[in-house]
Amino acid sequence: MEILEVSTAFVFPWHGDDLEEIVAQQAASPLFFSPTHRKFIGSLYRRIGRSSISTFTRNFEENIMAQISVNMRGGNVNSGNITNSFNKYFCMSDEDALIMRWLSPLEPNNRHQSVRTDRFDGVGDWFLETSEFREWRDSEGGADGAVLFSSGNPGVGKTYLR
Amino acid sequence: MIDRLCDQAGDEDVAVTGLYCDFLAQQEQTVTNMIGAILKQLVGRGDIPKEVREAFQKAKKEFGGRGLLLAEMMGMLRIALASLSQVFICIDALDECLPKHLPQLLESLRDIVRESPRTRIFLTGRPHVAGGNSKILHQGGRDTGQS
Repeated sequence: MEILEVSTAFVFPWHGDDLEEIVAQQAASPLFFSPTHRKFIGSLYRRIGRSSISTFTRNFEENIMAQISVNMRGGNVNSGNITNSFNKYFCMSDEDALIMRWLSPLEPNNRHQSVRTDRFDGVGDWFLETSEFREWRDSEGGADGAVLFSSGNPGVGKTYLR
Repeated sequence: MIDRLCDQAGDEDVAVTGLYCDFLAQQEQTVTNMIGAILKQLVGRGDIPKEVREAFQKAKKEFGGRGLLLAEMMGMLRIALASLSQVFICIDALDECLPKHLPQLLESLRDIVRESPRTRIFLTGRPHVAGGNSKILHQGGRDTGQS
């Protein structure tokens, strides 16, 4: 089995001054939040202000989860367009939700959601144009080239490849 | 990465799964739980396969809801993989996984690729993980070649 290695050497462009842009991007994203929730996210950002990004993300996620569960109990279930991962088990039968918990307590979707909302457009696009990535993605079967390993030092942006 | 693959996948039979290793959740991130998290993303796409449901119903009666062993989890993952034409597995920050879990995780991934050669695995990690990582996966390649 052949392993392709791609070194990542790009710097994730996070600076304090960019925070507002991130806020604007997230608040405008129509993909995962209903208008009500976008409004809520906007106000949350305004309240949190410029706290450091790492704690910021965590608070944000916890707050969203709390808010959504309150809304679900409050009879807002019919809005239908709250499709993010935090509430996905609300849509399942009890047994299905239990099976999911039984399979694993880990919820990678939650983390994924926070990564994708924190990401800038265009970050890591160059990587996705490399022949290494394309060959890995498109190769027709076979164990050769099945694994692509992207290595890089902490903070260079491996997580944030789009 | 995951988003790009999802956007490009289009096909119903192609699934993209992801996993983020985290220093803060090392104790929870056993290999069984990690494989379980991948399985969960596959079975959560549609109807839960009857093998998984039956195993759950059986486990529920035993010892007040017995957990799964890695081999059982891998067995169910195999079933889920077989029902799809291609599965992408993206695992972020391998270096944040407990060192004692890493070899087993990589062996499991190697077995997945051996059995479902269309599976594509994307890993990220700091450079120092690359050494042992490559060795285990390469070993897999050689074994397949000989058998």
